[in-house]
Amino acid sequence: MKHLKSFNKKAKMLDQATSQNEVEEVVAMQTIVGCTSVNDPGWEVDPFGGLGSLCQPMESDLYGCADACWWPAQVPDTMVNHTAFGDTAPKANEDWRKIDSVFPEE
Amino acid sequence: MNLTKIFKRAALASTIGAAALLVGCGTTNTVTEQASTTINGMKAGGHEYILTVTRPNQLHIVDTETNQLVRTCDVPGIFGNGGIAMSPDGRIAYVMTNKWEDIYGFDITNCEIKFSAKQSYSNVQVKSFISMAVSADGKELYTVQNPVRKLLDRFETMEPRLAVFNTEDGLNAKPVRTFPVDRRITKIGSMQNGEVILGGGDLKAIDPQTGKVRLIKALQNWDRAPDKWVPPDAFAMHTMGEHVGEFIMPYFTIRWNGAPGDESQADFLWGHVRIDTKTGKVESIETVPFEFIVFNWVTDPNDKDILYGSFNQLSKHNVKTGETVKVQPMDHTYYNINMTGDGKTIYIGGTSSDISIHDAETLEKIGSIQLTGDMSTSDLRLARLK
Repeated sequence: MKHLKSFNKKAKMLDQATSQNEVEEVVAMQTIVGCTSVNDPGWEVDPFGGLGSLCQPMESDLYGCADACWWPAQVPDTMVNHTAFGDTAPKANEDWRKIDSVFPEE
Repeated sequence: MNLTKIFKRAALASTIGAAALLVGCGTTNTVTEQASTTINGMKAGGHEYILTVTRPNQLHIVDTETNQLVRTCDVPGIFGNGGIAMSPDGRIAYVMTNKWEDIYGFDITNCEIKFSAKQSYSNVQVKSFISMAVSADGKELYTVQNPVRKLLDRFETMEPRLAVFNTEDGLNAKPVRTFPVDRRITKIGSMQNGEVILGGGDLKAIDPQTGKVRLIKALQNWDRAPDKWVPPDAFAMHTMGEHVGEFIMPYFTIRWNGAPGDESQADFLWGHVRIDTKTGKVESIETVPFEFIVFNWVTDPNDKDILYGSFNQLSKHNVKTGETVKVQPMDHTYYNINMTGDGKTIYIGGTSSDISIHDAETLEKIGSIQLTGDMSTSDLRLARLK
């Protein structure tokens, strides 16, 4: 933060908070703004360094990860912002071709 | 109880009922219920059913005797998470729906909605992460609420709380009491003494009358030498253990037998905390080698030392000896597992759209039930319809 200058009110509040070491005021955001704020890298391989213990096949696991706001990469957030993402595909392993991409609303 | 005894008891009950009518005492309804072993065509008297929720948003009820789908109820709202908590009489299934926010209580014998609660209100969005339980007497429903106030310029993250609902309040019920609880609580259960088990970083119990919290078992904050043990990583997702009256939560840890970080001399272990919901007795043990991932354990009703787990394999373990007794590869990933009260049949679900049925002795697959959509994060619960 040494070379950054806080510009607006919120940035100044953040600057003040970090300078006071008030880290306990930082709380998880996943329930607020949706899953896409949660990126959990490192799970591309299993605990043994391979792929065998990852969910199989990936399509079966799609909703299990998106619904719970957890995925090693980013998927549409079904909990808050893109609730209709899977409406045309109730069975992901059979219907995954029907699943659309999600684009920002204009 | 055999059939002859049932008929004899029914005949006796009918005689008593008729006599009661003669003296003007209206006990005939009770007599009718006792004489009947079905409710709306579903076997009762302790008959067991497996329940789960699938996309697009439906509650499914499977008869464990025939392994047939006997009823499907449409759940209001958008799917998610599909959590289920059963009333003690096995008749009302409380389902978490509408993006992990609303609860609907279904009479599983006819799909009638007997209870509902919308947890979000005004500009406060309330999510419950699976955390839902019914009191031992069936009178109260508990959820852990994670509220956030959506203001015009910012989000205000509010304190998590245990919400208490009266199940008799019916539709559009509101919490009658709330108490502050820790963050990151996902798996809760009820004990016979009235306390609610809070499964999070550590295992705690809260008195839902007073809000008083006590520690059951420290996990994330356990008091073990850091150069000997890695703090446990608990997977507190689905609640289960209803078939034997327990609350069980697996965790992963590492025991450093040499220098910390020396994996060649370390033991990678599954542990669990198991709470007898009747007596409150707590067991915590790490013996099962971490050979593969499981999401949940269920206890063999006939031998408490035997646990079953599922994920990409169905596995059977002896927690006393640490022996992996049997392993059965699965067709795909299954998050969830449960079994019948007689310990003979295992049901594996969650994730995809089929429930896989297995013989508990051999782990061989003996059947499959196709459902309308993916179970994703849904519960797989056992109901004993009284």
